[in-house]
Amino acid sequence: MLAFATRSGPAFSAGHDGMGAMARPHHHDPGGEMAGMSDMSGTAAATKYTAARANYTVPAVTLTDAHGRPVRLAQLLSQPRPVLVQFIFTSCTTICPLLSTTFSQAQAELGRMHGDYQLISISIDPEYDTPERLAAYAKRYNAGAHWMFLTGQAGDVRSVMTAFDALYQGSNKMYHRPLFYLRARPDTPWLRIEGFMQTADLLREYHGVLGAAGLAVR
Amino acid sequence: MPKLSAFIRSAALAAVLAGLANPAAAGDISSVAVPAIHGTTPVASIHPRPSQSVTGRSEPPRPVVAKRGPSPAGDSAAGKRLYWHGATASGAPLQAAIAGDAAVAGTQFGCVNCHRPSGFGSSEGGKYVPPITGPILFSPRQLNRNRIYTKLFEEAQPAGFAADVRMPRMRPAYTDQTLADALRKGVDPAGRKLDAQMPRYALSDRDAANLIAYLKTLSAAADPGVDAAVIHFATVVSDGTDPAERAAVVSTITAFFDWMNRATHGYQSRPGFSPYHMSELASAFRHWQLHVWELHGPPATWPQQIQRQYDAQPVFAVISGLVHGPWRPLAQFCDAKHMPCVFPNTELPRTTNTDYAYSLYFSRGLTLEGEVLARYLGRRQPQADRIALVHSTDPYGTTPARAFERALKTEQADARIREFAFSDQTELNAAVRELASAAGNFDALVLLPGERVNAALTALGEWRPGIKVIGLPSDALTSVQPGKLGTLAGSLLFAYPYELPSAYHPRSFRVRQWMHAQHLDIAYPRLQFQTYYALTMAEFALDQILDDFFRDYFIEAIEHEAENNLDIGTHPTLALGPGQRFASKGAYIVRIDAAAPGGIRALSDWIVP
Ligand code: HEC
Repeated sequence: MLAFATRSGPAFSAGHDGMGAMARPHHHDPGGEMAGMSDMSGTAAATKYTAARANYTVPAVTLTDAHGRPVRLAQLLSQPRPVLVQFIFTSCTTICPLLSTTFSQAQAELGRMHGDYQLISISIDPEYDTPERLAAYAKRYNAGAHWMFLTGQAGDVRSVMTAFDALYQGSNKMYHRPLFYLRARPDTPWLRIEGFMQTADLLREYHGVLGAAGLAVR
Repeated sequence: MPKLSAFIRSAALAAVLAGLANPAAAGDISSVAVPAIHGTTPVASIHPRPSQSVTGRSEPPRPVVAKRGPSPAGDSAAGKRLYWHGATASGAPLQAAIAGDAAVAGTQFGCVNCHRPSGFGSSEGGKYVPPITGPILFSPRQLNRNRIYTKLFEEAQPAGFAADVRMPRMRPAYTDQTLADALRKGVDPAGRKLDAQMPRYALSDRDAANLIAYLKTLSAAADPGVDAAVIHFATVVSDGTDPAERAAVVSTITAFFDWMNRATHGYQSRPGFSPYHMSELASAFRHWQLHVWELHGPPATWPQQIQRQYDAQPVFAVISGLVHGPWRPLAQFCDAKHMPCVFPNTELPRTTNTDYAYSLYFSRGLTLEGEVLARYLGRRQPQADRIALVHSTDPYGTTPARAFERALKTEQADARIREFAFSDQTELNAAVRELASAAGNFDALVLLPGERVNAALTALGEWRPGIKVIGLPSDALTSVQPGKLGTLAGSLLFAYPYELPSAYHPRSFRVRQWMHAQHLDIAYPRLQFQTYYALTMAEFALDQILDDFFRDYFIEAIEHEAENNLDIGTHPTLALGPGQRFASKGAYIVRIDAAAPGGIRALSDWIVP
């Protein structure tokens, strides 16, 4: 990671990857270690997130979109336009409605700011999330032409998550993390955002990412 | 219970619980003597992030101002539709605003998405959503050490989560008026502003009244099958199942119950039992009582039989089981009773209207197998578009046959299927003989023998139809004798909705060890491992819900636990999600290969139709 910053209203403990440090003891491991289980730092905050610049190598996988069409991810991401990526799953509760609502609400403004852009929501539950389920999810969030939903072979999706440092604790998708990835062009770094953002936060970060890449922003 | 007893040893835990035991200290992070993982300074002040606007478009939500005066009497059925689907009384889309953003209309903010069917909330993605069941809302908020305990120590959660959960946030009991205010304006009866992730809803008076009427009933009445000392579970076995398989399933269940009960009792009678916190957790311990429900006669009569058993002793849930015939009548019973039926061993699950239903399955069984055969044949090059479909007329034959036809049509609209249905051995032989004489007319044969697996394999061996590809369901694999088929054996392929024998699952070794320790004969490994899995799901789910014995909450805990690295090696992965009911979603296509581990070799990737 090249840079690290905390964006949040109240001052907050940052720079810590909470999930990685915690381990769930296995039920049938008598005497399972408790160490690392208790994170007593931090406090409740309304909306807070951390942002970091990073470079990722996208694996050469072919995923499937909500129309059942094959999509080569590396090719999709090599196109010279801004992209915003998130990981979701259609049966997800609590966090995905928040993540996807943010994309949903941002659409119009993203178009106004720069014209061309690509939103990508990748399912982390690909075996359940068939193209039909993704299409229904897309409809629920009023997804426009610039928003693509991807599923695929479980192993391929996993390699994408690994590449984006998006794996969650214990391989249980219910511990999945609120992550956004923003990038202006294929030759600029990603901005990786972890946490819950308001739409306005996302737009501000996007504005910053485009500005840093020297792109014209309206 | 092995897990809880393991926890007592933790000094760190004792320290935390001491902190929790003292409400004054509970919110004070620094008083908890737990080594910090990283050296950051906790910040005590909490104020919601002010709404910022880059664009000027984001506005704070405009709550509908409630008119004072008598509020309409609520209709809890209408309230339930709002809770689940965001359906308002007027039919207009529900309006809600989150995180200080502009209001959105739609179904994604139905309460169920965050507070779950039970109302007990969730903790996905590091976001703690509190319980909003009737009894909890309409009484003052107290620190429930137990609920907090599982959230804190059994879940991997990010920084901030622990403090979020431990915050006592005392508040008085809600009234109808303060609850409506909380939903509209996001302020609780103590005047505290709710986290911005709790949407602010623009609710009409009628909708508010309906919703509140429903919340009052939500997980308000105790679910049947549990008393202060005992939790009752049933398992179902039916006529027509193989007696040895059935004995293997029942003995695995019995051994598990004995093992659980020994652990609980041994733990409770241990000297020194009753440190402050553990005695509270002990309220969650129950003796597990097993009822074996035997079903006789045709499946259509099962519901009445099971009802009689249920009337004699209601159970909290049905675990595992082995039936011959479609699960559908039992699925309907489970749904009608809102009773979890957890991972029965069945090849004929109900595959329609399953989301949020009360039966949980390993896979879609023979429906899945039919679809996977269609997917494989439909995408083969050169294409197999002249297909003979031979199937029996019993449900084990018609179910995959219908699924095969449906799926093949979507793969290859112009595929030509010639169907032969047989209801006895004579018709079966006639069909296979006819195919043998007209083999040149077909690219593939799909043979779905239903209950006549052996007869079908014998007919194949006798007539040896010279068709290059012959697809069969997985249960033919255990009966096939390649020696009797000659070169035909090389043409056979099988749907295989299980893990390949060559795969390694570390946990299967431990399950085996456990079975050996219980002196269980492992005669039917897959069946017994699946049964064990069903049992562990019940165990872990109870660990999660503690003494909140509500069936919906129990299912939610299973949805969550199913994926926690508990794969037993029977399937490549087993996982559920909210509302999902099939833990394994695909199948391989395999063929016989004496040189390969387990005698089979995969011809395809894992196919998820
Ligand atoms: C996007 C997730 C989400 C949805 C959807 C949601 N809630 Fe909440 N709810 C929360 C969170 C998070 C809190 C905790 C807020 C806090 O304590 O600061 C909460 C708190 C509450 C509380 C306060 C509980 C207390 O003990 O004071 C009530 C009541 C409530 N929700 C009811 C509802 C109802 C009714 C609906 C549907 C109309 C609903 N919620 C929909 C996330 C959600």
